[in-house]
Amino acid sequence: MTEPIFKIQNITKKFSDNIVLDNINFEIRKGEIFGIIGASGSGKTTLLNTIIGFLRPDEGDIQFRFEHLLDFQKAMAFRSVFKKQEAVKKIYGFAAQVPSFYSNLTLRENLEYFGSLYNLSTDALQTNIETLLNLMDLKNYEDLLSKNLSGGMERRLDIACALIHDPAVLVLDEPTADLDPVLREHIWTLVKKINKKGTTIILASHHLIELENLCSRIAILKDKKIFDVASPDSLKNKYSKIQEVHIESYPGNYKKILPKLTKKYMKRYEIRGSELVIFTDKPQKVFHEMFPLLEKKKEEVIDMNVGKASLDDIFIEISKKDEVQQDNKQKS
Amino acid sequence: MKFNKIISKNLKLLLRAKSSAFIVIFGPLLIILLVGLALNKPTTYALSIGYFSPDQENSLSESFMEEIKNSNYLILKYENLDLCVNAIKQGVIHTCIVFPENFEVGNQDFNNIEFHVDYSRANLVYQIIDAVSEKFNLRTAELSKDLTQVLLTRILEARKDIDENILALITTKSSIDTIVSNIQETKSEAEGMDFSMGKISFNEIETTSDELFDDAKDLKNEGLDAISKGRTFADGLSNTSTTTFKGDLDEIESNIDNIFNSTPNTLEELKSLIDNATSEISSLETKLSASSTKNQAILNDLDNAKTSLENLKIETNNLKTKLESTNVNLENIDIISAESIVSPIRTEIKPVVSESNQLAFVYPYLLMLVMMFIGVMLSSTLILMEKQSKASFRNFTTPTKDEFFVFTTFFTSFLVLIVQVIVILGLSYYFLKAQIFANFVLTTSILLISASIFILVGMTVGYMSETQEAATMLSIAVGSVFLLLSNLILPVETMSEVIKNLTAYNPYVVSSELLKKALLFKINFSDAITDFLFLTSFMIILVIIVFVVNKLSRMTFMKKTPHAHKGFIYLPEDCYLKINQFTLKNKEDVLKTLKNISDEDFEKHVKKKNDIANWVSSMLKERRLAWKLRFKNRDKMIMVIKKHLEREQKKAEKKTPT
Repeated sequence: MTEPIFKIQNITKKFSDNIVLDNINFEIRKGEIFGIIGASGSGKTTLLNTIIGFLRPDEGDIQFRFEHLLDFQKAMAFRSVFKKQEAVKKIYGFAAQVPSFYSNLTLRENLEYFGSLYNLSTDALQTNIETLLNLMDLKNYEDLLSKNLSGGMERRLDIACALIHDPAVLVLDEPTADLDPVLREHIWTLVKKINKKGTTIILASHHLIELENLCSRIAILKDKKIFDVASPDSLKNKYSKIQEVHIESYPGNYKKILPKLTKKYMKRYEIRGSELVIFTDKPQKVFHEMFPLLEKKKEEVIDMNVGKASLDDIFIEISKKDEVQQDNKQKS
Repeated sequence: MKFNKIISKNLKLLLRAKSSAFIVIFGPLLIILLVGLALNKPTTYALSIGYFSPDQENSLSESFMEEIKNSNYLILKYENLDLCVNAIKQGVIHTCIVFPENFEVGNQDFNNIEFHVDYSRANLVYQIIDAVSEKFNLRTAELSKDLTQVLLTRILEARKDIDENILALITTKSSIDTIVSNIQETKSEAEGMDFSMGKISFNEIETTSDELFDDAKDLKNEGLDAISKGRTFADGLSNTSTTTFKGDLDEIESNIDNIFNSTPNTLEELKSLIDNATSEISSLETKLSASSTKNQAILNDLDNAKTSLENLKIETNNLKTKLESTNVNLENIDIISAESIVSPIRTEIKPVVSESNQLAFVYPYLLMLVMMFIGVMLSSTLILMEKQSKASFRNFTTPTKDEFFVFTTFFTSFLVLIVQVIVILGLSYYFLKAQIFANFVLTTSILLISASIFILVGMTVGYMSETQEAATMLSIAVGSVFLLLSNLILPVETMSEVIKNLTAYNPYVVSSELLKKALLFKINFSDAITDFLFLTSFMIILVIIVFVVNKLSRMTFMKKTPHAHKGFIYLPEDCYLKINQFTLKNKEDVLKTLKNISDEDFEKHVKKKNDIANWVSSMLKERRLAWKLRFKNRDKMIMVIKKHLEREQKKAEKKTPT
């Protein structure tokens, strides 16, 4: 297990009288992709802004480990981000929900400008720009005014701007919001690439299915508190007994099959493109009913497998539990 | 490098934004072109003057208008007063001159000339009045000169008359003296007259007369005795001689008898005569008494006459003294030329500078005005561009201090403004022949410090404003206040004392006055040191204000609702509208919610009080959309939000390259 780079300690943040974050505690480790999930309005963005020191918490502290310190100072290597703001700003890059760059500058000009704000030398800056333009597949558009970019390109440019100073930590707030699935996939591929270079990534997203394949650990933010922090698999094991039965057949006329399945085995279903996903706690029973039906409806099976439920399901499960608990409380 | 990059970025943003590029590049050129065309002419005003004279052919009013015509003003004659005044209202003429009926010189009742002016043209009205009055005063002075000449001639004639009158008075005085002297003599003589009369005793005369009669009787008796004796004697002597003697005695006796007989008659006559005399004397006495009374009255009259004459003499003397004094006064009038009386003081206006066209006079004010508006608007625009840019958040995440951004914004504005000023000065020099290099060092210093001040004012405005519109309006408001509290619209001297005192602290006034002194009067640094100190102090205060306002603006930015930050710092829950199981966090959610909420919820959250429209207005800041969503009809609301989203989608597609 790698050592922590951020220590979030007892953070409470209020806007006026409204508590947004309530006694938050967790650590972020060096080199990991750390995901923060939560319902809309659960305080993900506030938490990210507090982590980078942009918002000051009403209580608690966030500490960052400064790696450049000499050995004898290592004991004191964790420093409050609020006391060392200028230094902290140098080690993270931030990409907010809405891309943040100048529309009337070209891609290269934007990168040059933001790079210059980090006091990079001309050579280092040009090298970084070339690397990032290639990494983000933006090389062909470097002289295009940023206002003429598509949504995906805007997002990539924004991430490139956040990475221009080669930060140790990249903070991404809903990096795939408003993007189509293809572009989302592109962004996640990029995130992986960036992480492979050694950059710690902290990201908040509500695309939970995508996060589970990406993040080494995930914090679930619920009711202004951290519900749990663990790897996606641990979370699945801990909170969900539901499994997913994935079936892909041809011609894939699933709507004729679904009414014939016994409802009690099937919690719910989703048709994801050419794939039918059935959520169930009894996968064997589903398979048992499914095979004859497929044969009867002349569906040719292309692929079939069973897997753990996604984070989405866990999140829904957690939410449902919460609702049931609240209902019970109200009833009692 | 960082500094250069930020400046370069600011300049690129300015130039690439069409509106600001227009202001930056073409604004100064346009302004200087307009200024040049408008003001590069001699210092006269193209005035149109209307007049109305009730007399069709009045030589005096025509002579006045001829005087004005000589100044190349456009003269229009009107048939009546209303037409003339309406022409002012319509802007055809600048002033209407109304001559009185029977207008003539010296006619006290009909010499009022009325000037009708439009005081709403505050900047021109005094110049119109001055220009027209000057011409009228000229003609009036000519008339006054003629009248004064007549007056002077009369005075000279009066002086001669006074001299002659003084001489006459002297003669009169001498005559009075003689008369007084004569009266005195007459009085003395009259006083010397004795009207008394001794007492005449008429009894004594009568007694004496009786005694005289008795004596005459005695004398007769004695004569007769003597005669008798004589006769006796003579009888005794009988001779011839005695006869003769006796005859003689007879004769004597006869004579005595005659005398004696005649004596009483004589005495009676004498008595009668005495009585007459007594009567006459009594009458005379009465007359003398009356004469004495009259003499006394005459003496009194003489006294009165003397007193009157003496008074007359005194008055004559006084009159003489006064006439002499008047004469002396008249003699003391040195000015004997009518022109000297009409215009005792000759005024000659000598310009302190040699320039003779209007542009030279107003150039410093206009240059400073252009600098002020460009400086204020440019810097505020630059700050608003930055504040409203979605990139502003990224700037905050970099390890570059806020103060550095403030400084680079200032420097960018300064650079642009200075380039503009150089362009303006260059164009002014080559095309308008403005003397800008005469006092180069001082002029440059003034321009630099003024540019800094106006930029700092603009930066304050920029940091205080939330939107570009607000910044533009505030910039114009600040510029207008500076302009209003200056000499450019109304003379400062015409303003109230408080405002007049305030103008002393108006940086526009101080800097433009200083520039004027530098360009026109060629003052040196030591003369400008006070103003420089004021401007420098003002600049230092502004720097502090800019930093404070920037900090406040930053704090406000951090506290604002998330939507205003274009995705940055999303406040949770309290910013989202929750209607049962639906959470509204954007416009798409509005559509979804409207489509799916139950009738009960719609009734509760829309029909009773339109929570959705209120939320769109307060949180999404889409007031126009909120207004459109005011209909409490689900279908209509869905249609409105759908159309809105479609429009936004189309806009987004247009932006996206193929």
